[in-house]
Parts: sequence; structure tokens; C-alpha cells
Amino acid sequence: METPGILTETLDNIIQGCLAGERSAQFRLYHLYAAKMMGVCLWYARNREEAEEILQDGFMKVFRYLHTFSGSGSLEGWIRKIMVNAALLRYRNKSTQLYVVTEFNADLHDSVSEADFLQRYDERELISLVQQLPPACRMVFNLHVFEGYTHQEISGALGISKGTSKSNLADARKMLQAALSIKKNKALP
Amino acid sequence: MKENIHPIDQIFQQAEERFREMPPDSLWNRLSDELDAQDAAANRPALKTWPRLALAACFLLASLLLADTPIRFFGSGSAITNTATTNTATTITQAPAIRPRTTSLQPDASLAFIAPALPLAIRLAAAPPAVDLPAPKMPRLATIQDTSQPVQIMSRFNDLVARRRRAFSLTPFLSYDWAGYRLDRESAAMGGAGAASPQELGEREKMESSYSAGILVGWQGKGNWGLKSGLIYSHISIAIAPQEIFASKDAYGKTGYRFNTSTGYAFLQPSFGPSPAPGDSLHATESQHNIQVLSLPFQISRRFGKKKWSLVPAAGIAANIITRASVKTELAENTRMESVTFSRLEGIRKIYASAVADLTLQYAVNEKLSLSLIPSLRYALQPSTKNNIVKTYPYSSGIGAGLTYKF
Repeated sequence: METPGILTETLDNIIQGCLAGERSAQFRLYHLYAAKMMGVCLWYARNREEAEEILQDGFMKVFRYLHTFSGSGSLEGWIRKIMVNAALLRYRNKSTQLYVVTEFNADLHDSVSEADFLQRYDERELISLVQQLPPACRMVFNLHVFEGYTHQEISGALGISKGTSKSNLADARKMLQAALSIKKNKALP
Repeated sequence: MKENIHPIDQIFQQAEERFREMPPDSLWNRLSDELDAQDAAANRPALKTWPRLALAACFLLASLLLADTPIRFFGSGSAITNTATTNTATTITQAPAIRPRTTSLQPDASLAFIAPALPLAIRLAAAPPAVDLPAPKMPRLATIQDTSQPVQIMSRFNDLVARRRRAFSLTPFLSYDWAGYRLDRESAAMGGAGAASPQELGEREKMESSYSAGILVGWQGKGNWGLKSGLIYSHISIAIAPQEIFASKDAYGKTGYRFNTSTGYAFLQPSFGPSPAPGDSLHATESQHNIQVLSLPFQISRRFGKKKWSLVPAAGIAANIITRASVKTELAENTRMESVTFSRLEGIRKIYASAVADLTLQYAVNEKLSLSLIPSLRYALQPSTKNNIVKTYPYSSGIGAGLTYKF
């Protein structure tokens, strides 16, 4: 495993190569972050195909705007921002999906102790659950939980009100909670 | 990590931090294609230089082909060397001086080719729109994952791009040629006394070994289409059977023995014997005629193939410049004999056009190097002679081998 100093130097070389338009450097940058970013895109997409499209769009923007990366902050964080924005752009184009507010099902709203949820879940199962959320709920949930957006920021990013953002987040949590409960109950002998 | 995080949020956050999945190889191929398209669009203003140069070269070629100027190609120094085999002192008069250039341009009615027009499509690359991204509240991981495998990465990259086309290529090659020509009668009056017919001239000459060597420059565009040019040197050898040559007056009124070839003619005056009178004859033994030609081809090519093998047919035109045409012979009269070599031939067209086609078979040794087998055909669109007793249309077929280096 290389030391951080060598890593930085290698990454600098890769970035310089990408800025020079070298395909090999672009491939190396892609290979460094594709796995992580594919995971990010899977959380935001409805399915794998859409995730690949978001990833492709995202990396195109990465290579196009790499010269704007100032170096403050991590490159991974900067690339992640681009991926999230690529996902947001895709959903903004489908504006009708952003205002869906699901009915709150009180039967599913059971308080669950924290300990019940600390068991490890398969990531792909969790991704599948998030992908099944209504698009509005999914976007609000991801932006809040993964990106740390406040409701004010989410409302600005999605063009919805703060109240709708809060409502969508609550609904998303409840649906996921219910789905996890079902899974847990099924797993119990 | 935020305090008082919702349990659901915590589960998904932990899962998100752990999860990675490599996308399929096809995604990089799609990305690479899109990057190629973007690069092509961005570089189009620079690429206009090449079409302009090609267009300028075509116009230059066309203007040269249309020019009606006698050849002035072999320099002003002595073009005749002699080896006397008699005891008498030898003095060889120079070949007739070059006629002064004419200034009028007379279009050649037999000109058959038209310089191709190359379209120029110039697009300005759109300036990238400003990116306004909201600042993240939760900075993500600052470490780089999975970087301890540079060898695997590059190997994977090499596998993925092994079949990718590279834009420019250079192919030095060597070719063995089978050369020939078609003779049409120009004018019997130009041949002088006893001038042979095209058929007799053709029967007297026998093509010997010929070869070509050169360097081809290829540019591969989108959709397997490409352009090809280069510089090719060809050497053609012709054996001329023994013949009688007859004296006649040249353009300056001087009398000399006219030696006709399919390429051109010259007036010779041996050192032995008195100055000839029109109609006198001499015996010329078996002669060796060598021609050197420089060709500049302009071709359009199309690539077919997969994996390591490719077939690249190409067709176009070439400008051919006869850089040297020499004849070595022996003149004999009774017991007197004199070896003569002359290289200033009259009746040669300086530059003539030909159609060229080849079918390159390539085997990719690696990403940059390929072995090339190049069977080719050339056929003159214009005669290589002018104001000669025959119109000579040279042609050749060849089989060449070269090494292609891709940039």
C-alpha cells in the first residue's frame, strides 16, 4: 500500500494527464473512482441502467470540468458532487416526480428500538429498497442522509418547499423502516 | 457523524460508505467513445489545416498538370558521359539546349482527373457552461481507494484500448513492382526519319525488375474512414533491344541520331565519324533504360477488421514526378563503337497524374505497431510523355511490406 505522499504524487500525475487529454490518465482516474461512484449512482437511480447513465454523464462532466478543481478538498468529494448533480439534473427533467407525496400509513409507523436496526444489512438489499421509493422521497432521503443537505438546501436543489422536503423525508424513513421490519420478521425463525 | 442520527439514516449511511461496485467494461467504452467525439469536435478548428493543405496541394497539382512547359529538369551540367572504345580522340557535343519556356497555358485535352474538393467543416467548440455546485455539508472520504494496483489497471486499460483506433500512422515500406505501360500513337511526324511505331517501340522494350520504397502517412477519422498520403520513390528498369537509330534535325536545326524510348527521346552525336546527315543511321546495341519517379498519393481509405487483423482498401490519385530518366547504350558503326549514357530526355511530361489503389492487410503486433502487407495498383491518368512519338501511360502493380507505427 502506497504512502499518502506517493498517493498524492500519483494522483497529481493522473490529474495532469487528464488535463492534457490523455486517455490513459482518464482511464486511470475513472478506474480509481468508478466503483465508489457507481455505488453513489445506484442509490440515486431507479435501476442499474439508469445508474450507469448517471455515472457516464457524471464522468463526462468530471473530465470536462477537471480544470476547475481547485485542489481544496478531496477529489473524491468533488467527483461525488458532480455525480449527485448529474442525478439531480436527470430528475429535474422529470419534474412531475418531484411533487409526489405519499400517503402516510400509520399502521407501519411503529417505533423501533435503535438496537433492532444495528444489525448489518446487505448493501444491495438496501439499495434495492431505496430504489423502490418514490422518486421524490428517494431524492430527499439521499440528499439529506448521504449528502447532509438541510431541508432548506434540499428545497432549493429540488425546487420544492421545506415542508414538502420534510414530509418526503419522513415518508421515506417510514417506508424503509417498514420494509426493514418485514425483512427482519421474515428472517426470524 | 451527526449526533442524534436517526437509526434508519445510520443504517443507510453505513451501507453507503461500505458499498462499491465496479461498472461493466462497456461503460468505459461508451465513455471513451463520447470523449473521442468531444475531442474531435474540440479539435476541428485545428484539423482544418490538413484539409487546406491537401486542397492547396491538389490545386498545385492541377495547375502543374495544366501547364504547357517543356521539361527543364536535369540541370545545366553535362548530361552525357562517354567511354570511347576507339583510338581516336573523343569529343562529344552536348545534347540540344533546353528550349526556352513558353508562357502560354494550354489545357491538356487528355486530362482526365479532377482534383478532389475536400469539404471543410469547422465547428467551434462550445464553451463549457459555468458549474454552480452547492457545497457539501458532510465531506466525504479523503483517502483514495484501491490504488495499489497500477499494473492491473494499466493491463486492463491496455486490454480495453487494444482495438481502439489511433489517429495518425506512419508506414515505411518496400515494394516489388511489375511495371508496364500502354502506348498510344501521338504523331508519326514527330518521330523523325525511320521513327518506330508504338507497337515496334513497345516490342523493343522489355520491363525488368522494378521496386518502390516510401513512407505512407495515414489519418484515421471516425467511422473507419481515413485519409492516406505519403512519398513513394519508384525505380523502373527497361531493357531496350538493339536497334537502328536514324539522324534527323532537332528543334535547333542541329542533326543528331534520335534515340527514342517510351519515356522520351534524345539526339546523340558520337565522337567518331563526321557529323551525320538526316537519314544516316547507326546501330545501337542493347540498352538499359532506368527511370526514377517520385509519387505523392492522396487516397481515401476504409478500415475493416476486428481484433488484430485489419483490411484497409484505399483509392485515390497520385502526382508522379519523373526525377531522372537515363539510357545507357553503345553506338556502333562498322568497327567503331562508343558507350554513351544520357539522362536528358526530351518529350517527358514533368508531372503526370495516376489513379492509385491498394489493399493493405494489417496485423497488429501491439497497440502501436502493425505489420502491413500492401498490394497496390497504379495506372496513369495522363501520358507521361509530351510532344513525343507516343503517348505513354505507365502502370504498375506491386506487393509491398511495411511496418505501421500508430501515434
